[in-house]
Amino acid sequence: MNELVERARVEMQPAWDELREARVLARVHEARLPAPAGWTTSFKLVLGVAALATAGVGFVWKLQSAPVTASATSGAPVPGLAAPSHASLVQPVKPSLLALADGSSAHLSAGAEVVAVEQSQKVVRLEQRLGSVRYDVRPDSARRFSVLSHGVEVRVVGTVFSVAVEAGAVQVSVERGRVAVTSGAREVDLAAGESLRVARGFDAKAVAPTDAQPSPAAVSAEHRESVLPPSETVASLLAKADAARARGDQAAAERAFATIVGQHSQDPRAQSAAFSLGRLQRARGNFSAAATTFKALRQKVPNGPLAEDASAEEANAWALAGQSELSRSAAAQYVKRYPEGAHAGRMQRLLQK
Amino acid sequence: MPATAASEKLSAAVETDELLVQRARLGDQRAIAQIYRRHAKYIAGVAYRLLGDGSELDDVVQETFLAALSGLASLMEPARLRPWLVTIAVRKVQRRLVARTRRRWLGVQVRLAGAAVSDPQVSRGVLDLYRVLETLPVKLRVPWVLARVEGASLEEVAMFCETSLSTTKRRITRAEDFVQRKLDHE
Repeated sequence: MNELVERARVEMQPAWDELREARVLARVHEARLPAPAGWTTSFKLVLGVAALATAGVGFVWKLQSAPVTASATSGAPVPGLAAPSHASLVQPVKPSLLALADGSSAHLSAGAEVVAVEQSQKVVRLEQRLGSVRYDVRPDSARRFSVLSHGVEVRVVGTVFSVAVEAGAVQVSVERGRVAVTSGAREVDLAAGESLRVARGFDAKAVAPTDAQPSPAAVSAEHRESVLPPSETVASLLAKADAARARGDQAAAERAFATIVGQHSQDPRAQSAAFSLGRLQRARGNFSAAATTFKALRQKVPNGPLAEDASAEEANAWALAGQSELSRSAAAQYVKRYPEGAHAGRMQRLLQK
Repeated sequence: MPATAASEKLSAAVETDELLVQRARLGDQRAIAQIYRRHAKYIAGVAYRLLGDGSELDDVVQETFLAALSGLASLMEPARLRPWLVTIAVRKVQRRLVARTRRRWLGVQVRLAGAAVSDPQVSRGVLDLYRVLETLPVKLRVPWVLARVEGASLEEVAMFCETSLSTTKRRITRAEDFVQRKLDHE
């Protein structure tokens, strides 16, 4: 067995190159960023709307410790604003927002109903009774955040995910981060891009992955289309790109990254995919394409973790493409924005060319 | 957070792990990136050999560094940064392996975010070894891989797994017997 172990030590090496390293570093940076300022703005906006609300206009509650119910029931009578222990939210047309005291939020679709069963610094426990709700949970490892829906519990640390109560099943879809879905004694971890459909009133045989075709009686065709993930998720495309690079197929890797950038531009991983795409384009001699990719990335997320590197890469790629003027212009932008940056010396040299 | 004057002063010195940790504690983003770049590949290698594939590798490395950066203040010996990172990574891997076991037990084929990539570099024998490891309880598998594949000492394995020396030794021995028996039968 010693020889086998020695072979394992030699052969079991991950395809870990500088692109993958940069991609994960970008994810680390992104995860460490504070909650986007836009959230506060939108919160204030919604709060302002609430203060002015007449019938049918959305409003937000800061939940108290006592249970609070938020529902979006089309056609129901408009409730009063009092009684925080049991208040109802009526939103006939527009989706409703339930803001939690810990900074997390729940976006209720029409007909959805959520009850805050428990809310403290250490625990936030919601019960989703009806409809479809998208949860944006503020990261806090010290606080346990969970959503209970018809016997299915979804536990999270910090993430964006949706729970849809359907006829006979509960559908959980994760956009960002990771959740643990528990039903009875069973637990399944879901990562970004994954979804799981669990039968209400849990029965192991009734649990089916989203990839399996749900019963037509349980999910309408229209709804199924809306909850099923696209044929190629960002995660599968990244895996495909990694595999392609591991076997030296740069063209295939480039295609996978380009698909992420083109079809999943709103996904947070699209930034690092764009950076990887630019690096591959440059490596394959497509210098102008690489410069354009880096420029687009820099412009899209000027304060993102990869913006500085993308700015420098843009200047380098223009130089390699023989576009001296564009290269100097990009280098000047870099020096102006990052005078003490890691690539400042190289950018100064480009400016002097 | 911008680098402070104190952290800039530190950066002028030789950048040992100890100094990088001190700068990172002061909020120096470059020191944080340097810590990552210095250790990410090593951590990825250890995690990969523990997991047996690369499907969750990015997540494990990300989670390891996130946890490490959040807990830098608790690092008692900054010079021993790498072993500390390995301890965190081992914890993250164990959690993933336990989740995989639960998935198998549940009989649910959840669509994995990053499908395992079949590496043509890995020989049949090594694949067989990892197939055997898949059947080994996580608490036996992890110390065995650390000791036998990573070549860590008993003391190091005990530290990485956060178990006593005697427990570590017992688990490695049990795992060795199990793996040997299974391989002999194949």
